[in-house]
Amino acid sequence: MNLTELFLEISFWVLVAAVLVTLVHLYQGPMIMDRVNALNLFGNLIVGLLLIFGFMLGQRLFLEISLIFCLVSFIPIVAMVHYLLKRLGK
Amino acid sequence: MIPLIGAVSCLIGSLLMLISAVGLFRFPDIYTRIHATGIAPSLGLIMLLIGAGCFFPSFWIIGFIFLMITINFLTSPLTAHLIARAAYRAGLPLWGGSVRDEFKFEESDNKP
Repeated sequence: MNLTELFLEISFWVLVAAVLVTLVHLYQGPMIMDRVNALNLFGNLIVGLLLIFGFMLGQRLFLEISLIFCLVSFIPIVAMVHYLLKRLGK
Repeated sequence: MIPLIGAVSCLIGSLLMLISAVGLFRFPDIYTRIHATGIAPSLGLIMLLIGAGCFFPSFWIIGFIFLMITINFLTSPLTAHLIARAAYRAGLPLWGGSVRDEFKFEESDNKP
């Protein structure tokens, strides 16, 4: 196995481990703000995972998908925080 | 040689993201957890984008990298600040070892 492919494989599995740790925290977070925070990190991790996919498969399409995901992934956080603050105001 | 540099950069970036995910468990407070998730993945994403520049060397990738860094640097502090503001207005408790709460009104602040 080539050294480049080995490093890419290791970084891919490291990112998968990070996603699993974030999902565990998303499941057992005691407060709802913890879950929103974990979801914020989850979006960033998925962007990195899509980039690694693109490097491993050698296709540039994944880079554009990661760009779209990076554009979109902050909108649910803003929406959730907006409705939580609205519920808090009542 | 150049793809090897890109792979090492990808490894560093993914390790930074793993550090950020471990920080979710290690920090005791919601505000310090926002520290962990708001700062480290930006640097990890920059390292991954250096890897992208090494794997797909073209003129198109320069604009992609700058666009990605710009978008991430605009949205990452925004979400961190929103979560911290909502957590403070919900009245979530600070960690016991916190030195000072700047927004809390104290009697000693009123003196001239």
